[in-house]
Amino acid sequence: MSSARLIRILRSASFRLPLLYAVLFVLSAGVLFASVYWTATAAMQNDMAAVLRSEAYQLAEVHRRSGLAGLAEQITRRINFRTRGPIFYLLQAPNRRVVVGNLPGMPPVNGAIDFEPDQPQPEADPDRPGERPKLTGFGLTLPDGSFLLVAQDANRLVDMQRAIIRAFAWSGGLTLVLAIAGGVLLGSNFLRRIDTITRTSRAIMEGDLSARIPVRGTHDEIDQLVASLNAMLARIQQLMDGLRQVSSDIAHDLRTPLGRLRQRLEDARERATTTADYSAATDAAIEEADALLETFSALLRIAQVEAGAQKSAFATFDVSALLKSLGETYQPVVEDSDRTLQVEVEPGATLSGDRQLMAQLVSNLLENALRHTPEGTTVRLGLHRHGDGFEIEVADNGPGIPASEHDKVFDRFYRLDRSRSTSGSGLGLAMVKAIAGLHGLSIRLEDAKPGLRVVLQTAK
Amino acid sequence: MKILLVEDDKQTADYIAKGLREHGHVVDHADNGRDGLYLATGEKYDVLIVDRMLPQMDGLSLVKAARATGMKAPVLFLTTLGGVDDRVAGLEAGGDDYLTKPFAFAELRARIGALSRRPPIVATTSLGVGDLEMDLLARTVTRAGKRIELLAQEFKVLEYLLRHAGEVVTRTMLLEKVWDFHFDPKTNIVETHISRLRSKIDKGFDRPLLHTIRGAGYVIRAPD
Repeated sequence: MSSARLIRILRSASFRLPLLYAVLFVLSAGVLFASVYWTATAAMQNDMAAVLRSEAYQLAEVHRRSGLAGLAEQITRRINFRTRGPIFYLLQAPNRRVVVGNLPGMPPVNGAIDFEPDQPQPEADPDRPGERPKLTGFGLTLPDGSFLLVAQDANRLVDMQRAIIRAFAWSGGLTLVLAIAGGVLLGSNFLRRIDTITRTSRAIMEGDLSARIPVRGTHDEIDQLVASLNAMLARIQQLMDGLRQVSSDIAHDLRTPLGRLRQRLEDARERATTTADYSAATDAAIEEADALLETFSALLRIAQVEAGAQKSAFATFDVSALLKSLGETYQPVVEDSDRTLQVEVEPGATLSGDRQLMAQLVSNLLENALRHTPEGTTVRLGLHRHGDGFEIEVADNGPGIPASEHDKVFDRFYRLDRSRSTSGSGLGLAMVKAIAGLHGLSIRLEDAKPGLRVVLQTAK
Repeated sequence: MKILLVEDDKQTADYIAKGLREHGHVVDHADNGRDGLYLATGEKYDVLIVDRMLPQMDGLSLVKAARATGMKAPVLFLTTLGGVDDRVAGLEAGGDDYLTKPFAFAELRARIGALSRRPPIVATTSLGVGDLEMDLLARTVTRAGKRIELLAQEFKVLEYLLRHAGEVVTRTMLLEKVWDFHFDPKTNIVETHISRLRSKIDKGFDRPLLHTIRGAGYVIRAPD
């Protein structure tokens, strides 16, 4: 691991957080340690003091019954048999002569006393050779003026305190080490994933719009972030592709009419001699310009719809009513063109969307069915409900479209070879597709055997 | 009529102003939003023609501000934006009609005519011209006392024409107001419906009421 990378890990949020927790943990462990330490020490001290006091009073009772000699005998027995662990005794006569005991003589003191005897006793503590024993004792002046001291090795307390300190030092240190190691591990893992995101966005900035950030499949927060970033990238790429497509479509397909317009104007300048010639030429030029303008506004509208800008105008409306009314609108037009229109609309279907755009969608489909079929064709406009959703159908029994062309007809400016001669901009179905997409309707072409059936379906 | 034109593109402005003056209107022209607002609130106009995109103050803000001072004159928005959203925004800001560039001059004239003669909104139960009568409640039409059966959409076309009797109504106006079509259908919907309507109300009568104005639209009027 390079040092720069280590510095980045130390700076990363996912390392700092475990470190902070570790420090907090050590601090709270310190508080816990202090309270355990003081409570245990106090409890042990109390316990030792109580043992010593009860021993001293028991021996005082022996003295009351059997006198100094009896007490000395008793103490000797206790020293010899070590009945109660390492307990030290001292019995001094009123003249300060040591009667019996394993402690050096000392001035009498009543009550608890901590002291370090001048001469270490050989059997004071075999576990600690050379160390001066620390004793804690209880002194009692007896009624006849003699002095009794019962003492115990205070180092037992020190041992316990050391054990507590050792245990806490080990566990605290281990926690800190684990926290730091975990922090480094988590931090570097997190950083690797962030690095991937950064690398991918750089690649995209450098022009590779198809780059995507890999998803790990763990469904954690980062995966979710990556998934939405990828979805955003896909949308951007789609919009960019659309834009690129529009620019190249315009470049390719508007050259022809513009060229024609120029041709006509040039012809008029070269050949026209009378006012009638000029007005015929300008009329033709205006017609050509109008068609161009119309193509432009159709392109603009498709772009607007594809960008989803119209969604703010969305409202729920009755699709069945709209289709019925469109049926009534087109009925006389279809009849005048020597075709038949059948309208089969189930009532009550609703859609949240833009009513005017949906009207344009259905009109475009109906007009296509009129324009690309021979006289005598029957055109059917239908709506069938399925549960919550519905299906809109515009079908004819005309020549249909070969299945291989089904995908291409939705492209801008795409026209079947046989319809090159008929009027139309080649944008009608592109508009249909854009509007259907805006409303979340799927669109498919089917062979109506014979003829073409266009089906729009709400998402299930 | 006194008309205020707020349009920053000089060529378009000259073209509109010249055309309107030739038809006898008085036209004041402002080439930016602030001057437009100054004129709109200071002078009294019959109609305002306002471009959506203007320097210094856009058309929507201009009309909102003018309406806030109590300006009542009808407003026609001009725009190169033709989306539904733009149209709705224009009408919400206090516009009365909306025309997408480029447009034929006849279309503009017809719209201005319709706006300036916009009748006060009163509940009428019948409409008519000459010996043609329309009962809006019973939804019946008679000519010279004789009952004429119309389909629902023919009735709507006739109603719109009668509400603008004597005025030229363009194809686009009919598409927008009768069918709510804000796009140009490639088939002759309007022509077909007008021709059917004409055969029902004019056939068999000496003097026709429904006339086609070439290059402009249709008008329904009483015979002279």
